[in-house]
Amino acid sequence: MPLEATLLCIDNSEYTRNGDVSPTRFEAQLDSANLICGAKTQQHPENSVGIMTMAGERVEVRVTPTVDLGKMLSGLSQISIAGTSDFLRGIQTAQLALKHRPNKNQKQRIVCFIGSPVEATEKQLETIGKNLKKNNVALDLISFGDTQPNSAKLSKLIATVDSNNNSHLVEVPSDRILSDYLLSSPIIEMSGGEDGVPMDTEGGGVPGGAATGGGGANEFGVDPNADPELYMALRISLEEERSRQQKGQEDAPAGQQQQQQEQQPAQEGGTATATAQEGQTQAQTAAAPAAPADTSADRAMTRAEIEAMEGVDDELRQALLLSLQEDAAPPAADVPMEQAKQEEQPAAPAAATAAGASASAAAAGGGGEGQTAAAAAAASAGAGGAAGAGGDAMFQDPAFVERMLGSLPGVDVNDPRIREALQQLHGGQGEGPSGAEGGDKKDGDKKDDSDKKQ
Amino acid sequence: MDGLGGGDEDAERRQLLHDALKHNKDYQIAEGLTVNLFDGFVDWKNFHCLGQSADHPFPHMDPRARTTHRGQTYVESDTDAEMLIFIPFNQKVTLQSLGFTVLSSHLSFGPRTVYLFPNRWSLDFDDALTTDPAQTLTFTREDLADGTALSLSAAKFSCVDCVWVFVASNQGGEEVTRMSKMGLLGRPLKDGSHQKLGGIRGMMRA
Repeated sequence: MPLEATLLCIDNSEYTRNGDVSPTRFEAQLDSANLICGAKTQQHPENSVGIMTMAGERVEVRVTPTVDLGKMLSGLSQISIAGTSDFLRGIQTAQLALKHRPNKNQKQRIVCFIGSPVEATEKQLETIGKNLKKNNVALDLISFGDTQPNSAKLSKLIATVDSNNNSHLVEVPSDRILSDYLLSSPIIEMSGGEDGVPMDTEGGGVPGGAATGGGGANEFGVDPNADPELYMALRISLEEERSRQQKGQEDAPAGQQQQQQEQQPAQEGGTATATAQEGQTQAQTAAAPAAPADTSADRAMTRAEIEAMEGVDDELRQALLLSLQEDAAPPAADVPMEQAKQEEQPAAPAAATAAGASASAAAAGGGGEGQTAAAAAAASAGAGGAAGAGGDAMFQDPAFVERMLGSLPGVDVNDPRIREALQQLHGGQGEGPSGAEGGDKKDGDKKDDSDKKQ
Repeated sequence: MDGLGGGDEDAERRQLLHDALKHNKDYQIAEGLTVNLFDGFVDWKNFHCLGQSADHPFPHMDPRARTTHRGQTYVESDTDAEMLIFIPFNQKVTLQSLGFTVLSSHLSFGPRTVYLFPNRWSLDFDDALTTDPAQTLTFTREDLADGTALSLSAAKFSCVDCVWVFVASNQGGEEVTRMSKMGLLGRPLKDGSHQKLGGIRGMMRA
């Protein structure tokens, strides 16, 4: 993000004819240079990039720092391979070219490709490194091809130049595509780095970089001195987001309560469907005319609704869908505990979303009508309807329900109230109302449990 | 005696008034007295310092993005004693004096020889060593302890829109230079606002 003037030093020595990097070191290099030019000009409209070559007859500045991408690219295309590269002189020339940049507000950066052995001594490199650091010039080195012989010298140079982590050495293994590798390197990512915004504003751990620091980034990755407006905007938006989250947390407990209450109709519905399966249609229509519509509407809604829910984050949504799929699997009499628990989950949000719809469905038609409408809805939802029936049938298995209750923390299966509820649940299959009541009761207990958990 | 007493009284009143108001920026400007130019006349967005350390840099002074450096008591140079501080002003000013304050425990780290280069938009360490400065100041330990500002040549600093302060050495020949406060006293020039000349000046610079 910082306003920068960059000078790209291209290594066009004879070494770069080598084909160990595909297609050749030179071609790969030009491709990456292309990429860097694009990336730099994208980061800030006033970023300028210049191009120079380090080999050939002499070190030569091909393109003085410019904001015109076309100039850079045509400059790159005119480079030809010749001679050996002079790293030291290249860096010095680059520094000089940067010094005379027209816009003095730009930070200075040299990006240098090295595809041939560096002949300068460590002493010389240290001197030039210190000079760069003092004049606040950042240096990125891209070592490719045969990186081994240069490695020690270059990492030492970077250690000298680096202040505030503004300089990088990237060594690209020969089996990797150069430009692909650079794409994920800090050289290109410098600007994109703001994605990982640490949420700690008050920490002040990062001393916000120097007034001039090339990498003078603070907690937002923005140098407040370089761009105070952006910094302020980020800070304000962060604070707003925080207060919004705080508000959300305050509201959340109330919302959960509501959800639990809405869980009840779903349970009722479940009971009713199961009875229908067992062929006791009469009892069902007589006792709970609203119930079937309730269930299937609920089940049919779930799938569509889950996908449409906006306030829910992706993970939760996926979890809900997944649990629906598991529902669809034919329920064995002996369902593993974990699955059973997951099964409980979808009931809550499903009920929440279905509450409105089920009410209207119930109002629209009596028992028979409601059921046909429900059937259509269930069909549209694919396996959803069947899944619902299957899952609910599971709750009819007394052994299963007991085990499940036993596995919940803070629930005593021998508690007389639970016993009574269970008995009512299983005994009341024939008579709708009492069954519904049983569901109620059980739910009440469950609510208590979850309250305890909280 | 009476007459003299009356004159004294008048002078005394004026003196009192002056004492009371002398720290008031408006009064100072109206009276043509000096002000601390860091107080509202520096273009902080373009202010920068070469050779400062990353751990003890100049704090961000832009009021819109002020980030406090908790516990920071001094600014330090990085690898050697040299520091090059660029101070652009947001309007033309007259510089009158420059002073530094250094913590008493850091006196030997305090700046000693300081070169000033007014009205240059670009300078680096090589230039600073090879160019003749407009003025050279030499600070003593006493100056640094009291924060005494040394006065600048009226002729060379009468109309300045930016200045480079090159700290070349420190008192005790230490590895690094440290300073805690910097005072740049002067006077804003009337009608010298850059805002009015922005367009033309921008063109000339480019």
